[in-house]
Amino acid sequence: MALTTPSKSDTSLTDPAFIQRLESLALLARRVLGGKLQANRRTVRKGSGINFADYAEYTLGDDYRAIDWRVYGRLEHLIIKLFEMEEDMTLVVLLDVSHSMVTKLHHARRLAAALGYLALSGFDQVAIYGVGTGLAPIVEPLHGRGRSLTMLRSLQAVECTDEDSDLDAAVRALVARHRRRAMIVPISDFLIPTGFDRALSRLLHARHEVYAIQVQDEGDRVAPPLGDALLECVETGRTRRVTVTERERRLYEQAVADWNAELRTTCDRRGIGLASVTTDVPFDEIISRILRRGGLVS
Amino acid sequence: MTFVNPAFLFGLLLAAPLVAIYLLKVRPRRRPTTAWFLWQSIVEERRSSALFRRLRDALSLILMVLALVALAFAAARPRFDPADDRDLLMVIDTSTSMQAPAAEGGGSAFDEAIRRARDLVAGLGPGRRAAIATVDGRLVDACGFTDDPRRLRSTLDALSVRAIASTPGALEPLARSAALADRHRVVLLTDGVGTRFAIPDHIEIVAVGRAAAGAAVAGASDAAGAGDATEAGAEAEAEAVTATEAPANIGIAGADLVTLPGGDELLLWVRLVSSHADPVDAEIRLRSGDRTNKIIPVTVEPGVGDPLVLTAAGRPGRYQLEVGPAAGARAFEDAVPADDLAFLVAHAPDPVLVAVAGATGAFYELAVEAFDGAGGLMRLHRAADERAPDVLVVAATDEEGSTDGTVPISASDLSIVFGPGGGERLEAPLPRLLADDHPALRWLPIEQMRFPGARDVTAPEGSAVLVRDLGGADLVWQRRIDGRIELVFNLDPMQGEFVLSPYFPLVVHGAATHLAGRPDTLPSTIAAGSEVTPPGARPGERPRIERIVDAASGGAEDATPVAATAAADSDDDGSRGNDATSRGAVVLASDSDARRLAAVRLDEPGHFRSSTASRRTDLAASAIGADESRLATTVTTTEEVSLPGGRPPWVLLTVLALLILAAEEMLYHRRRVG
Repeated sequence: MALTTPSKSDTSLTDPAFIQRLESLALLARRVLGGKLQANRRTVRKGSGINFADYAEYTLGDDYRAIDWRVYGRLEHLIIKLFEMEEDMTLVVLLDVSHSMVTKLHHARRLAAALGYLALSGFDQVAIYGVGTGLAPIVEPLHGRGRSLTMLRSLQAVECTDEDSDLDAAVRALVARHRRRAMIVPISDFLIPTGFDRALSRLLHARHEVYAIQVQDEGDRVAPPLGDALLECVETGRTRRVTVTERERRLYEQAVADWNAELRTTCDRRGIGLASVTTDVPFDEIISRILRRGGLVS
Repeated sequence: MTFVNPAFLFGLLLAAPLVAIYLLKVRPRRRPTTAWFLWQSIVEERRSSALFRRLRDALSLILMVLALVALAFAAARPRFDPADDRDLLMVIDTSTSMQAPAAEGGGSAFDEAIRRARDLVAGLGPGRRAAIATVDGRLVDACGFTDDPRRLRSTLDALSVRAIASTPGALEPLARSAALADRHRVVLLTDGVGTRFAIPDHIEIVAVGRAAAGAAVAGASDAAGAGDATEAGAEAEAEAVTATEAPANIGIAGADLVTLPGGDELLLWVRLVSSHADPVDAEIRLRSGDRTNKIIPVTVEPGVGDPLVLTAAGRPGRYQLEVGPAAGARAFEDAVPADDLAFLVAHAPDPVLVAVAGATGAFYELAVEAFDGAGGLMRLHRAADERAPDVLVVAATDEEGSTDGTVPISASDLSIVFGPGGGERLEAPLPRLLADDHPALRWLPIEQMRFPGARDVTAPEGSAVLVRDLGGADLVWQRRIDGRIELVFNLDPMQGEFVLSPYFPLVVHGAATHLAGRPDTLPSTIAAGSEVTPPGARPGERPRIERIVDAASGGAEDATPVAATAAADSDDDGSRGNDATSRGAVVLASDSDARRLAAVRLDEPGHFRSSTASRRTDLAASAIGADESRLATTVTTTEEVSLPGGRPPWVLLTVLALLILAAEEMLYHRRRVG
C-alpha cells in the first residue's frame, strides 16, 4: 500500500474545467432545490421579513407596527401579523489535513471546493478550516460568489501536515470561534484513534447543523498483501513487524468495517447526515448524489 | 570418517555470504498504514506467537546453514566404514526355480533377488566397486567391477531367469580364486532350490524367495554334501522339507524318447515331480509340431514320482512333451511354467558301418557283429550297402603287414589298425594310460591288458599317444596321415587268443564309435545348460548349431544359428584341439580336448540341429531337474548375512538437505504470503 498523491494538473482547483464542473453543480443545485440552497432558505424563526407567515395575539412589548388594524376594526382584537425571517447561512468545512489524508486530500479538497462554491453561489457565508492537532484557518468567512476564486486558491494551497488528527480539539476551537449557528461539514477519513463521537456531540450541543463526509481509499479498507510486513503509522512514524495472514487480513478488514459502522450509527443516532465515499468516485457525482437527496440534511 | 572428495568441504565457506544475503533478504517490506490503532488491537491478540516470530528468522537462517553443511558433506562423499572397503561381487541365481513366486513382496524369487541386488548397489559406499555375475548351470560374468551404479542397475535390469537347472560345480571358479576371496566380498542371491551349488566358504548368501521367508540357505558344507547325494537321498531330504515351504508346482523331472525297432513306434519314459501337498490329476501330451501323438492322463503324486514308461505311435523326429491340467479340468497351481515342457528328439538308429580288411578278418567281423543287435550301435558293412563304411578295421597281418586285398585300404579315411609291425616283440608290456577318459578306451581295463603281439615301436611324429609301455614302447596312438585318421593298437588279436577275449569287441567298438564321432547313445534331450557331443564330428571339428522352431502348420521349420555354443569356449579359444595333432607324440590329451571341442552346450530349452561335415543331427534341451521342479528349499540355518544396505551417507545427507530446505521454504512461504 503506497501513499501516492495526484499529479499537479489533476490537483488544480482553479482550473477552468474544474470551475466549469462546479458551475454545473450550482445549476443542478438550483434546479433540484428550487434555488433554495443553504443560505436563502426559510427559517423556523418568525420576525420582520416580507413574507406573511401567521397572526398572533398582541402582547405587551410587541412591535405595535405589526398590529393589523383592519382586524381590530372588525373584531376589536389586537392581532399582529407575523412575517417569516430570511437569514443567511454559514457553511463551515472542517477539512482533515492530518498525514493520514495524504492520499485522499486531493479528493477532500475538491469536495470542500464544491460545497464552498455552491454556498457562495447561494449567497451564504463560507469558512474552511484545516483539522490537524488543532484548527487551522484555510478560508476565513467569505460572502458572495465573487469570492469563489479566493476560496479555491486558498484550498489549492492546502497541504497535509505531519500531525495526527485531533478532531475534538479542532471542534472545541471552532465552537469557541463560531457562536453563531452554522452548517458544519467535517471531511475526513474518520480513522481517528481518539474517536469522533465527542467532537460530533460537541458540534450538536453548540446548535450547529452537522453533515459528515467520510473519505476513504482502498488503502484504508484493505489490508496489505499477505506475508511479512513492516507496518508504519503514517502519522506517528511508529513501526511494527507483523505477518499478515488470512486471519490478520480478515480481522483488519472487519475492524475497519466495524469502525465505519460505528460512525454511521453515531450519525444516525444524533441526526447527523453522513456520506461515506471513496476516492475512486468523482467528486461531482458525490455532490450530485447529496443534492438529489435534499442537500446537506440528515 | 573419511571423505572421497574433501575439497567440497570448502563449500562450507559459502555460509558467510549466505548469512549476509539472508539478513538482507528477510527484511520485510515497509507498509504505511493510516489505521495504526486498528492494527494494534489485532497484533495484540497475536502476542502469543511473537516469540516464534522473533525466532523464526533465526531459525530460517539456521536451517539454511544446516542445509548448506549437509550439501557440502554430501558432495564430499563421506565414508563411515573404511575398514570394509572390499569390492562386492553379486552372484545372482538365474536357475529355473527362481521363477517361482516369492513368499512376500510380489513377483518371483528372481524379482526379489534383483530388488535385493539393487539395494546392495544403492548401499555401496563411495568409490566402492561392485560386479555382477549370474549362476545356473555355470557362472557367467554379467558386469565387471565398476563403481558406476547406473551401469550396475542397467545390468540388473537386463538379467532374466533362464530355464537352466543349477549345477553343483557352477561356483567352482569362485572357489578356485583365493585372491577373489581375499580382496572381494562375494554375495550369492539364491532361493536355495535345486541341485544346490557347492558354495565356497567365503561366499555370503542372501536368501530370496521362499528361502528368505523361512531362513537362510544351507552353507557350503551342507550344499556340497547334498550335491553328492543320491536320488534316494534327495527324495528323503525332500520329504524333510515341509510342503508349505515350497510353492505348488508340477514339472517334468526327466524324459526320454527312443525309436523302437521297425521305426514306427516310440518308447517314452517320463518322470514327473510335484510339490503339491496332495495328488493332482494332470495330463501328459506328446506332440510333434501341431500333431498330438499321445495324451496320457496321470495322477501326479507329491514328490518325485515313479517313472512312466509307455509306447506311442511315431517315427523318429522332434517332439514336445508337456504336462498340464487335463482338458476341461480345473487348472492347478504351477509356480514354474518352464518345467512343464520338454523338448525331445527320437533319433533314428544309425549304426557305425565298419568294414574289415585283412586276412584274419573273420574274427574281427565277429567282434563287429557282436554289437549289431545291441540297439544298432555298430554294423558290419556289406557289399549291398550304398554308404561307404564309416570305419575300416585293418586286421593285423604277417610280418610284412599286408592285407588280403578284399577291402581296399582307401574304403574309409577312418581306420583302426591292429599290429602296426616293426620293432622287436615285447614279451610282457606294462601298459600305462596317458589319456584319461579317452572315449576310445573308456570301457577297457588298459593297465590289466597284456597287449599280445605288441612290438617295441614308437609312434610316428605327430601322433597322440594314448597308451605307452613302461619300457617306452607306444601301445595305442592316433595319427593323421594324408587326411586319414588312424587309431593304432600295437597288438595282434590273434596272439594269446585275444580275439576270444570279451575285451576285443570292446576295443573295436570303442575305437569305431570314437573315430566315427558317435557317442554311445545320443540322449533324446539334455538338461538345458549342459553339454552334448553331437555325432559325426571328427576330432577337431566344431559342429555348427542352429535352433529349430517347427512351424505350427507343420512341415516348415525355422533354423537360427546359435552363437557360442561350443563348451570349450568357456575355457579357451578352442585352438587346443586343432593343435593336438600337430604336436609331437608327447601330446597326450589331444584327442580328449578335440572331443571337448566338439561338445556343445545348449543354454536354453528347445530343438537344435548340429551340422558337421558328414552329417546333421537333431538335438534337444529341456528345463528338466527334479530338485528345481520340486522347489524344495534346503533350509538348515537362520544365519543373517550382514550386508551394506540402505542408502549411502551422501544420499541421506542430500535428502536431509532437501528436507531442511523444504522446512525453510515453509517458513519463507509464511513470510512471503502468510
